[in-house]
Amino acid sequence: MDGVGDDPLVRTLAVLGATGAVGGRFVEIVAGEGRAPIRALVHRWWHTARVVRFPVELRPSPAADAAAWAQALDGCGAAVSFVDGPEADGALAEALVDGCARAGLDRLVHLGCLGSFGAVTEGLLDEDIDPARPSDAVAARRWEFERSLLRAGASVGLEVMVVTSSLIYGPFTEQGAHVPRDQVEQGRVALARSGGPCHLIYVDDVIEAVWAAVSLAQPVHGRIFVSGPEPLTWPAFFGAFESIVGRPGVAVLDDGDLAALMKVDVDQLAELRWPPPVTGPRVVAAIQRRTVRRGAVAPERRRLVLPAPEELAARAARVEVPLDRATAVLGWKPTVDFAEGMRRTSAYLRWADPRERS
Amino acid sequence: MHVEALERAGLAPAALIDADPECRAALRRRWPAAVVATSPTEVLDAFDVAIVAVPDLLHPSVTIELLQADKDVLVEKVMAGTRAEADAMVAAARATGRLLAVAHVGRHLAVKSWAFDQLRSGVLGHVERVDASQGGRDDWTASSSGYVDQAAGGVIAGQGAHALDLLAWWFGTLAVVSCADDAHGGHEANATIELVTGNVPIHLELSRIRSNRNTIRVHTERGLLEVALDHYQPRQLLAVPDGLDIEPFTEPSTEPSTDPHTGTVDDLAGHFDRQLRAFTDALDGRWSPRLATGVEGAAVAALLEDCYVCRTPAEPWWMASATTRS
Repeated sequence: MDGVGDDPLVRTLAVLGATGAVGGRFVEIVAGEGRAPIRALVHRWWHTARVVRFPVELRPSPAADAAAWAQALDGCGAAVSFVDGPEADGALAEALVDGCARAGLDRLVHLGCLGSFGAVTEGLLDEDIDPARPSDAVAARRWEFERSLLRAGASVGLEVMVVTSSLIYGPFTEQGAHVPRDQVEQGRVALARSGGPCHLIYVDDVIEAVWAAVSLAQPVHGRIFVSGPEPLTWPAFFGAFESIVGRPGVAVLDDGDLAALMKVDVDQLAELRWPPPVTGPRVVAAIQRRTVRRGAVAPERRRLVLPAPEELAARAARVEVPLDRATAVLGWKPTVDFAEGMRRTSAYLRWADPRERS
Repeated sequence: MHVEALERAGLAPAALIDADPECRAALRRRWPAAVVATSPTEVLDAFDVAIVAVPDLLHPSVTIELLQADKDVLVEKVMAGTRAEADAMVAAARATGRLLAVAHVGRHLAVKSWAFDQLRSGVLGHVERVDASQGGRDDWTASSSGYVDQAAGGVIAGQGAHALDLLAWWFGTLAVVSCADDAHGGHEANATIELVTGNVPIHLELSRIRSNRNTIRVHTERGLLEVALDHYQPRQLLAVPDGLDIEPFTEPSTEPSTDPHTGTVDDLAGHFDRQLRAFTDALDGRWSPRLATGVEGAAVAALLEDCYVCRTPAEPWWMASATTRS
């Protein structure tokens, strides 16, 4: 299917969250390739620089008011949401879905993430289960927003699909490009030896999945997982940024050692280098003796960058992400492997950072 | 920014004009003594001097209307979207004998006047080439879509107007050699412009979405002069040739401080304060080189038009989709 709804030339696609990294990429590809007319609903006009390169229609994004949403969406065939942030709560979800229904839209597709799927830490994920609220506050808010969208859609008879993505990397992404690059630049990112798989997906593959969801001819409702061609390891992911920074940026530690370091006093952390000196804080020295015996560390001593507790937990999860439904329902498969994705991400980071262009 | 500068200068706005009812209500609440209107024509008797800060594409019509009503005008940059409109504004000022200045506020960074003086003094020898790089994620707050859909262009007309004004102020007449940008039927976010002044080549990089260097490098016979292009830089003077008898430049304090010459802080608000002071001085017959004239503003508008006329498409290779459309 080539367009949104019956006639892609007439049926405008509303894009919420178009000023973000992934929403902006969606506009670049969909508007850039002329797949559908775009109406971008935005909060911050001054963050639209990336999307107004294309002939998109801009309108202010309403708050949690169904009538305002209906007005903002009037004339659109479907809506795509990349909404995130504190305002994305249950009230907004209900108003948005209600507004879509009142405006006569066929479908709402929202981009969710694995972290907000729920409190599942191992095994094969299942789109049909309704997992418990995750403990992390941000993930819990997203979880609530996604559940509210699906519930409200079922209630008002609107097709709502949540495309649940693994970690998205690529140009402009924070967690998939800027943050890991900055962390590797700061020092060695501490990772647990027994960490789970790193599920990630290149941003353009996400865009194609969302496009497939919004342009699908048959009715859809519910959740669909999307992820890259194959999972990676966390050391491999962070290690891919070493060549960009030009320094070693990974420290793989035994789980117990990492857990012990997570409890080290903040003042000591600031001074912590990896590999550590022979003498030093008791915990660190003990770890160092064992590590050196195994010969598992690279020689350059750099600051140790410890994960936040929620990052540690997320990286410990041992889940499998099934892509069967994405393939069967959307006809979608990921096409960008990690080498190609990082080639593009690396080129983007060099382009984006003035330190690389002095 | 303009009205707040008026307040800091102890001046009260006599009339505040905005087409948006919500904005008018907010203006009435904040400045109850001012007349609030939807159009200048409603309140022409209430003021003698106007600051025009409407969206870009409305600058010419509003400014000419005000000049013809015998008002002196400070119009926001970019003065106009085309050289014909800008020339009409200058002609209107000449015909009416009113003052027309353009708010190229970027001139008011302290180091720029200092560098202008050094370049003019000849102490640096002749200029060999110039390399300017300006941009970052656009953080200029705007309350309406007029910021986008009534703009004269994208980054070339936005940030580019500041850089082109500075280059023309420092080096005189410029000519556009080439312009490459990434617009796809909308407003460009990134652009590379090659210019020339005399036989000196000038390279200008602009962006609204990536962090650029935000400095201008002037390669001279005696060495490199590099200065900041905006007030966000921790230091304004980054490089100056050694061993020359150059008037020292004093970096502004990072703490809130007051410029002893102008009584203003060297930040963006301070630049508006300085601009207002320069404008009021001009009204009193004392024109500062920091204040852009209508003719100078028109020269920038002409350069912008030349950029848009000769533009070619360009964007990084990784911008192209990595996926094959299914």
